[in-house]
Parts: sequence; structure tokens; C-alpha cells
Amino acid sequence: MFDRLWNKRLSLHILLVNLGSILLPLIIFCVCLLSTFYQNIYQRTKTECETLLNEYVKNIEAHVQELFFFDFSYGNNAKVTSLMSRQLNDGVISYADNKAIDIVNLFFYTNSKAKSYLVSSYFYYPNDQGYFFSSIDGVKRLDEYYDNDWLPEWETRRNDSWCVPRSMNQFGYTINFISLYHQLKNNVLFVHNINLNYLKNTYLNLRMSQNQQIVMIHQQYGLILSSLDEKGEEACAAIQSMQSGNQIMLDNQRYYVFSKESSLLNVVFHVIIPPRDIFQYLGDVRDLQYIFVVLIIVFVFILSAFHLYRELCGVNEIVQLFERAKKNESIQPTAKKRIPMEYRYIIDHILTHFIEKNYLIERAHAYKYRYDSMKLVALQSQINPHFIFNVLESINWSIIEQTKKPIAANAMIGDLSALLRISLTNPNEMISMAEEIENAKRYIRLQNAHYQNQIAFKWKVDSDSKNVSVMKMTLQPLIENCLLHGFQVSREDAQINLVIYTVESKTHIIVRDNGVGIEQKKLEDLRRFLTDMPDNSYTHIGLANLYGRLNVIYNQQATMQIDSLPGHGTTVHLSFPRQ
Amino acid sequence: MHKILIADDDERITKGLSTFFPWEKFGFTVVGMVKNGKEAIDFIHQHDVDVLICDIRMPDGNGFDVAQRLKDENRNIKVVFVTAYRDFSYAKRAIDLGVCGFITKPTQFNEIENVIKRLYDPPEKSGSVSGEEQRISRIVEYINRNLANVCLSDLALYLDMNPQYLSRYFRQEMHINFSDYLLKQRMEKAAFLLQNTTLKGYQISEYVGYANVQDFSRVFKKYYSLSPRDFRHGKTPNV
Repeated sequence: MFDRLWNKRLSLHILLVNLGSILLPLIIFCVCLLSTFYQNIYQRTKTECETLLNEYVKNIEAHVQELFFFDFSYGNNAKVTSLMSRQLNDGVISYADNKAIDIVNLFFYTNSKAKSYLVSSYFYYPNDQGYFFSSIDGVKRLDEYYDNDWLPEWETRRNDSWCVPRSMNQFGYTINFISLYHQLKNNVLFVHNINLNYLKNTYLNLRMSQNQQIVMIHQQYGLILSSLDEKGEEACAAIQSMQSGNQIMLDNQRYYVFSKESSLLNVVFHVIIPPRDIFQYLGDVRDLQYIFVVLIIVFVFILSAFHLYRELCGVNEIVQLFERAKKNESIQPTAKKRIPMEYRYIIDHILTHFIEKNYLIERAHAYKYRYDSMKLVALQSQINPHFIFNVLESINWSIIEQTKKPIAANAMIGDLSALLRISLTNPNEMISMAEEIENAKRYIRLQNAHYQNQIAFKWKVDSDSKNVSVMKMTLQPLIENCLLHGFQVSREDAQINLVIYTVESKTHIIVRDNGVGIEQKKLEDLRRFLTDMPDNSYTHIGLANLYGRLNVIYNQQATMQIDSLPGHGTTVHLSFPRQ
Repeated sequence: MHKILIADDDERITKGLSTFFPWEKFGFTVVGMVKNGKEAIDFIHQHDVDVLICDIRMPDGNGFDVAQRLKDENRNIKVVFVTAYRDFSYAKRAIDLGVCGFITKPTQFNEIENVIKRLYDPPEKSGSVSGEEQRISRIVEYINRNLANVCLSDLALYLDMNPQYLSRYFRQEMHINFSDYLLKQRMEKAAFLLQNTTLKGYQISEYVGYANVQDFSRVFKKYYSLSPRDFRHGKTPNV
């Protein structure tokens, strides 16, 4: 019976192959689709982040420009500057000056108060006493002021404008700010302290998504401001150590980083955003995606099952065919319509081959039977040759004893034993043509003696052919054929002509008799018989046998041609390669 | 008269051989008949024998044993075997023992005659064929095989000889010119084919090396004084 396990295995195999062949392209397709999708969303997020950063930079730089504008309007005004520098240098001023200073002072104070992002502003002009002007406290001596570490910074680095993150303690709590230094051409320095808390509250709360964070990093002083509170330093370090690409790890969480530099402030703004925020919009799409995948898998399974069913039908049909054939039952194919084309084709061919095989087996049995029976006959007829020759010898001498000298009978015994000797040795042996002709003559002598008639035997052999080698018993079947079929009725003028010649490396033997000849139809049958060699005929077996042996020895190079005219005789023309 | 001893276990044969074969005619006389190998050896020890005719299969010492013994004793006795069945292994062993001939059963008088005639008068061609004869037979064979297109230079190449020398050698050995010999072979072949086959004239002319039938007819007529057609229709050449 067809192995169940094998069946299961085959099913699994077909299922896997089908699944693989359909699922694999689908998966590749989905992956490509999703990757473009993700890419697109990423690009969009990047653009959004960059827009946001631009917004920050623009806004903050707008404040700075505003302050610069103020600086320019005061610092480049000669009256104001001379007034201020006089006060800072001398400390002594006239009343009129005092009035003007009050006004300037008021403006200064108003400006710093009106701009909510400003903590304070300082005005400084280099002087010996170390005076400067504060928008909150008016003219002060630097060494007596609570916030006094800003000037050395300027001394070390005179530049147009720059900013430094600073902090100061006032009334018990710390204020963080950045000081924006602005030095004009006439050596006037403005310092604006910008409140970081204000910036943080105003700008850093502007977010696109929940987990998006903003980090402001000064190129020289490091972290200035971040929306991350206590994790700010960590994020800053991660961003600064970022080698390439735009990703950092923070708290085991991956973040994309998008950056924008403000050249005015030497500050870089970074937006960090985790991937899940970027792709949160995909949430809905992702659900659809899962449904889609499930649907595909279900579809593929159904398709595979259908294929499986068809293939199993075909395979089972073949297997059953084999089983039936094994049991020698009828092997008619069932007329199932579900069997696929290719299996139908295979089944048809298997059937053809089975039928052929059975036919061949039958033939082989028949041959074996015939071979066995022939072997039996051969065994039965196998008498020790020594015995035969010794008996013939005894007969030979008995005759001589009677007649006192050899007579025709002794010659007959001699011819007979010579022919016997030939037929007892290897029939495919090669002998010279002269010997073969001698044997043919013996055969004819015996035949003539036996039938008591005189068939004239004439032979013409060209000098060239006497030495050629020829297969043993080549002439005898030809002559036998003449005697059997040509001269069944005894005749006075019976004659057999034998012509042997060799031209162009082929030896030709022509045996011509003047017997009864062969009718046209029989002749055609005979010719067909020689080429086809069917095994169910028993006439002219000698000629067919001879032709077959010659073709084996001469490798299909022998030809045999039979011509006959009824009433006039028959000619057999044999040719084979000269050897 | 050469003295013959006949050894065979079949009395009819020994008797028949000694009585009915005309030994005296060929210069032999039968001096004894024995039944087996042992008796043969004993007889030879006691009598003077020239030829032993001996069956191979005998009880008490077969033909090979006897021949071996005679060879060992270095006696100058010619041995002829009588055998029913001749095969190659017999022949080889017999030649090794110096056996001079075989007579096959059933015994034919002409066969005995052939064998005993050769005992003291070996034919000239037996033994090794001389190199010259071998070469001549090679030449004849080559010419016959390549009758249609043979020429002296090809033959010289085949024999690895100088053509001029070959030509001289050929005339000396065959007493005929190479070209005359070739013509003779060709014309004889053509005559044979004309007389005995139904091959067409142009086929025969081609077979014997003439591409043109007219050429062939002319040469044939010159050689036999008869046209090929007349020759075929039975007129005898008056050569």
C-alpha cells in the first residue's frame, strides 16, 4: 500500500513549495512598499523638524537683532556715547548732563524692562575706575557689583558680538542666562543678559510631538538650554559625540537628531525625536497592513491546498497504477477529470511502457522457451564425435575388407566425415576460398550420390579470389537452397554454376541454377524475409541464417540479392568485404 | 623399403591398413602390428622400425606418450598420428613432439598416400618460405588488390623500395615487365568478368582501371584480338 508517511511528506513538500513560491514575492513586495513608505515619512518629519528649527532660530535671532538695533541707536549716537563715557570716566557731570543721563537711563531701563526676555543690560566704556552702567542699578563700580565676572570675558576676547552662558545668584536662587556681548566700533560694549527660562518657556514648549526634545548647544561652552531638564547634559554629550548619521542613544531609546546653526549666536539648535514619534502616524496603516498580510496568507493557503489536492490526485493515480501493475491487474486509467495535464501525460506514457514491457516479457518468455527446447534437442543429439568417426572408420574398413580396395562408398564416407568435422567446429571460423570450394564439392558429391542424379556443378573462380578468406559454410547453404527449391524434381540437365570474383575490395559469389525458379510473389516475400528476419518462418531458413551470420562477421557489410525467373532458374548474388 | 609399425587398438583397422593399402608401391613394408602404446615401445626396442603409424587414443600409453618416449630415447623414427578428431591443441603438441603427419579417420587412401609420400620426400615449398618469395607474393597480392589504380611508384612506396630498383627486380623475378604484368592481370580479370558475370562493360572497364570504356575496348581488342562484346558472346580468342 502507498506509504501514508510518504503521502504526508509529499503533501508537506508541495504545500511548502507553493507557499514559498507565492509568499516570497509578496513579502519582498511588502518590504519594498513599506520601506518607501517609511522613507517618505522620515523625509516629511525631517522637513517639519527643519522648519521648526528655522522658526526657533528666526525668532531668537529676531530678539538679538532687536537688541542690536537698540545698541546701534545708542552706541553710535555721539552725544549719548560722549555723555556716558564722560560719566563713567569722571563720575562728575554737569546738571544738564545729569538730566540727559537720566533720560538715557530711563530709556535703557525701559528697554530692559519692556523686553521680557531681558534680565538686564550693561553698558561699558573702558575707564580707569571700573565703572559701568547697568539698566537696573544705574552707574556702578564693577568691583562693588554682585554680577562682576562678565568683564574679564570681554578682555580676553574682543569681538563684534558673541554670547556666553552665565548664571548668577540673586536673592537666594540661581538665574541662568546668556550674555550677549556686542562691541561697537568706538569701543563701546553692550552686554544683554537674556533670560533662559523665558526662552525655554516661550519656545521650547513648541513641539510637534510628545517626545520631541530640543537641545541648544553652544559651540564653545556646551549645553545652554534643553527641554530635557536633568537629562540635558547627557543628551548634549551624546549629540557632541555623534560620529556620523543622525541618530543617538539616550536612556536606551533611539533618537533622530536634526540640527540648525545660528551663526549670530554661535549656537546650534538640535531637535531630537524618537522613531516611534515619527512613525506614529503609521499606526492606522500598520493595522491595515496586518489585515492585508493575514488575508494574503489565507489566500495563499487556499491556493496551495488546491494545488496540493490536484497534485495528490495525479500522484495517487500513478501510484495506484503501479500497485495494480504490480498485482498484475488491469491497468486501465481511471477517467478522473481532476488529474492535471502533466500527470495525464506521464500516466499515458507509463501505460504505453507497461504494455510494451509486458509484450517484451512475453516475447522473452517465448524466446526462452524456444531456446530451452533447442538446447534440449542439442543435448539429445550430442553424441561423442570420436564415436561417430570411429564408427565411420569401422564401416570404411569393413567395405574395404569386402571389396579388397576402396570404392565409391569409401569416398562418400570420406566426404561425409569431412563435412561432419566442419560442422562440429566453430561455424564462424574463416578458411580460404579454395578450401571452401573443396567443401562445396564434397557436399555436391554426397547429394548426387544420395539422390542418384547428376547435378552438374561448374565453378569459375578468378585467380584473385582463391586466396581470400571466407566464412566457413558460406557456399553450402547456397547450394542447398538450389537443391531444395530449384531441383525438387529430378532432372537430367540440372546445373549449378558458381562464379566467384573479387573486384574493388569486395568478393562476390554468384550461384546460378537452372531450376524451377521462384514466383514473383514468393520472391518478394523471400526478399522481405531476408531484410526483416522474422522468427516465425521456416522456409529459406538456410539463406536467412547465412545472411545473418555474414552480417555479424562483416559488420553489416554483406549483401545478398536474389533474382529468379520462374521456369528458368534462380540467381543468388552474395557480396562481402575482401579479407 | 622403409619398415612400418602400425599401432591401433582396433584390430580391424590395423589389419585393413596392413593388408589393403599398397605400401610396396610407395616403398614401404609393414613389419608389425601392435594394440597399444606399451606394445609399440616394446616392439621398437626389439625390432628395427623406420615409421610408426599410431592412433592417438589407445589404452596403455596413448600416441603422445609413445612419441614422447621415442623423442626422449632419441630414436630416429618418424611418427604419423591417426586421429578421429583434429583440433589445434593436438596439432601444436604433436608438432612439438616432432610428429611428421596426421591421418584423419575415416582413413582415405589418398590421404595416406599424401602423408607417406612426404615422409622421405618433403615438398619444396614446405618449411620456411624465403624472403624473396614472400616479397613476390606481397607484390602480386598488392597488384591484385589495387588492380584499378596501382602504379609502380605506389607499389615502391608500399614495399619501401626504390622505383627503378623495383622495376628491375620485378623483371628479374617475374620475367616480365611490371606494366606488361599489370596489363596481363587486368585483361585476365576483365576476360573472367566478361565470360562469367553479367556485369556491364563500363563496370568491368572501371573495375580494371579504365575510366573510359573506349580505351578499355581498344586495349582489350589489342590484347585478345577480340572486342569485349565478341569475347562475351563466346568467340574464342585466337591467341
